[in-house]
Parts: sequence; C-alpha cells; structure tokens
Amino acid sequence: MLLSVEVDAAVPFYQQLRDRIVEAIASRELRSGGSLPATRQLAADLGINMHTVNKAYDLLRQEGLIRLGRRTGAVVSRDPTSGPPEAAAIAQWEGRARTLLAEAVAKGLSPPETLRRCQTILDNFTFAAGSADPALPSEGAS
Amino acid sequence: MTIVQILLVGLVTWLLPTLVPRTVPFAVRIPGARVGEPVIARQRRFYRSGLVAITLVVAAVVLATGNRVEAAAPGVLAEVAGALVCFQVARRRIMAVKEREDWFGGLRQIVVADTSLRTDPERFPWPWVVPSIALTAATVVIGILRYPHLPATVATHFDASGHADRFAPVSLGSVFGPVAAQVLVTALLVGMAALVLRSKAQLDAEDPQTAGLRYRRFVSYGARALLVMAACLSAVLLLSSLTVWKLINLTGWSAQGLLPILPLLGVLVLVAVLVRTGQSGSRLRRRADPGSGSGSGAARRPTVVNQDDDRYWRFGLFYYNRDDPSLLVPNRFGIGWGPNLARPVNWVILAAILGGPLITTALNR
Repeated sequence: MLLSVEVDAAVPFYQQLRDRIVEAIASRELRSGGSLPATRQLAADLGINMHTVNKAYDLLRQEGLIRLGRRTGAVVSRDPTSGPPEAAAIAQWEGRARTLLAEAVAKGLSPPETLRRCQTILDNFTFAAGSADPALPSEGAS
Repeated sequence: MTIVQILLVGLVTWLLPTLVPRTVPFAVRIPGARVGEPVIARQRRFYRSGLVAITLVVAAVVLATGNRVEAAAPGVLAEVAGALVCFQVARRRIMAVKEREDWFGGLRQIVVADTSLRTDPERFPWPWVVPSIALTAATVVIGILRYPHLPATVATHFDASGHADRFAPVSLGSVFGPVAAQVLVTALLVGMAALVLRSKAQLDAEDPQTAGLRYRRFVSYGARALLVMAACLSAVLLLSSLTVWKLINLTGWSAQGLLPILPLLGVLVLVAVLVRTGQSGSRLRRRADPGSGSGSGAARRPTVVNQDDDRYWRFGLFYYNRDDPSLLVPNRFGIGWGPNLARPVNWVILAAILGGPLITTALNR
C-alpha cells in the first residue's frame, strides 16, 4: 500500500497518516490481520519524527482499528468484514458526519447533491474492494 | 596501477550526474516537469568538461613522475577536490535559477512510503555471507592452532615486493591484531548490508509504484555486492595472516598482484553494481507492472511532486535531519549510502572507522 502525506497541508502529519490508513481499510487495501510497518521504519521512509507515527498508530488503536503488540508490531484488527460496529463508535462517527454534512449544506450544496456525492465516495470504497478481491483471494498481507 | 585508479575515479565521477535520480540533478531537488530546463544540461556540461580537464592533468603528472604507487592517494585526492569544486558551482547555479523562478510554486509536495517494502521486505541474503564468515573463522582457527608453534618474532610490515622488513615479538596483540581487524571488517560490512536492506526508501512521489520496485532491486543487489566485498577483504586478510604466520610465502607476483587485486575486485564489483542500478535503482528499467496494488493516493493526482528536501542536505552532500530516524540514506550525489549525521550513533561509528586505523598506525610506530 502507498501511504502519502502532504507536506504543506493544514492537517497535521499524524492525522493524515491515520486518515490514509482508515481509507485503506475501508477500500480493503488493508485487511484484518495484515501488518503495518514498524514505527521506526515508517518514520524513516517518510523522513518524519517517530512520535508522529506513534501518535497516528495510537489513534488507530484507540479507535479499535489496529492492535499494537510488542512483538507483532501494528496489526489491523478490524475491517468491513469483521461484523457490526460498536454502538459507541457509531455515535461518535455520527457526530463528526453531522459537522461534515453541515459544512456542505451551509456552503450551498443541496441535500440531494450532498447525498449523491456521499454515495459516489462510498461506491469508490466498495468498488476498490471488489476489484482487489480476485488478486487477494485469502487474507493478503498488503 | 596508479594510473588505473586515477582513470577509474575520473570515470565514476564523470558518470555521477547520470547515476542520480532525475529529480535531484547536482543534489538540487526539482519538480519532474523541470528536468528539461536548459540550466541543468548546461551545468552538466560544465561539470564534465571541468572533470575531464582535472583528470587529464592529474594523469599527466602521475605518468610524468613514473606512475608510482605513492602518487595514488594525492592524485585521487586532487581529482576528488576538483570534482567537488565543479559540483558545488553547478549546484549553486541550478539552485539560483530554481529559487528565482520559484519552481515549486503552487505545487503540492508530498512524501510517499510503500508499506509493502516493510511488511514483505527483501530478505537478508544469508548464503552470500557464508564465504566471508568461513574465511574469517578459518583465520581464527588457524591462528589459535598455529600460535604455540610460532617463532619468537613475527613480521608486522612488508615492503613493496613482499619481504618482511619489520618484526615484533610474538604476543596476542601482534599475532591476533590482524585477525581482530578481519573480524571487525566482516562484521562492519555484514552489518552494513543489513542496514542497506532497511535503508530509507525515498520514493519518487510522481511514480511511487516504479520507485518501490526499483528500490527493492537496488537494495538487494547493493547488499549482495557489499557481501562480495566482505569476502574479498576477508580473503586478503587470511592470506596476509598466513604469510605472517609463515604458513605460506607470498613474494613477487603473488604479493604484488593478488593482495592489491582482491580488494580492488571487491570495490569494482560494488561500483559496477551501483553504476548499473543507479542511485535508488533510478537506472533500472521499469518492469512490466505485476498488478501491484490499485495505485491509491499519488498516482491519481498528477499535480503532486516530491518534497523540496534541499534543506536536509548540507552542501548537497551530507544528510542532516533530526526528525528522520534513518541511519543510512542513499547518497544524494554519488553512489551507495551515507549516514544521517543527525543520529549520534553515526558519529560513534564514523569515529570507530576513522579512529581505528589511526590508533593502529600510532601503536605500530
């Protein structure tokens, strides 16, 4: 999987990393059981501070998306096939989705148009998952 | 011999501008769309004509003074110094144009990592370590077996034709000193090969898929070449130890030919491999895409470019980045790898590499 961070973006590096990994899980590029690089190695490849990567991994761990083990490193612990979400996680997500949708409506996007765009993004995830499946029949690593 | 070294160094320094990735001409980071800028071609011509002139002068002086072995070090030094001056001038001129015309203005700079390089890494080539470890182990074992039977003194220095001209009384130091050096050299090169496989993968953000595949081949060839070099150096040290212990007698051709040629062979293999691959594999052709991934992120956005990371490269040559935990990074202008000088452990290693021979020389005086 390719992980990219934008250098001059307003969004901090750790948040960008966390977001890219969540997106990779949603599009099934990363699957439950697949590993992520060691903190030090990922920081080295990106040329950024180790604490930044640590912070991103820690966020993902708090959200229940990855497991951090002393020996196993960072391992993805849930993906779209891992069953229904936790109620608390969904409540939290809804809070943030509310703000995001409010932004669109406040800036003049009509509700049907907003919905259509949301659908396109969702389709992207499921489409990516569908096309990746034949290449990775079982629990692929990457 | 000396003239060969002078010409070889001249050739490699002449090749350098074509060995580095196209987005870092003369250690200046540029956007991919700028690789055709006239200033770059002009500075490449300037650097190369300067280098040819210096090499010819040094070669003429070496030949005029009889192509002597002692001329090698000052000759190479003069050549490298000349190349450095030309490099700095070319670099400054490209940087000046880049800044004046604001080449990175309005472009989105990103850094990209390929996680599969780490979750499914290139494996350490263990079979390639066997020769150097076997040779080193053989030296230790032969040394231990031979130690009780040694005469009262052993040679510590040989003249150019291979005759011993300095001696020391037999002691653990005088007998096992070279063995310790051999263990150190082998350990250092094997360690370096392992580090190379973990070295920073600075992928071209404009084509990260290809860059990832190139990086894989670059580090796996490079690590193997380092292990070949370790084997060559171990062989030299074994042969010289056997000579000191009077088990073989290397004089004439074998002393003058074999002993210098083996390390040269190791260096040649390494240089040839790194010239072939180019820095970070930049000269390896793009392989037919083996359906690697769905190309997320960078591939979909043609407006992204590599991060302008000039500020981390002091004088364009020395990497200094406090945030980056990398120990080894591919050299910006040159072949092979260099240290991240912001990591204190690298200063310790540098001190050991530079200080070791100095102390040994001082003690042998």
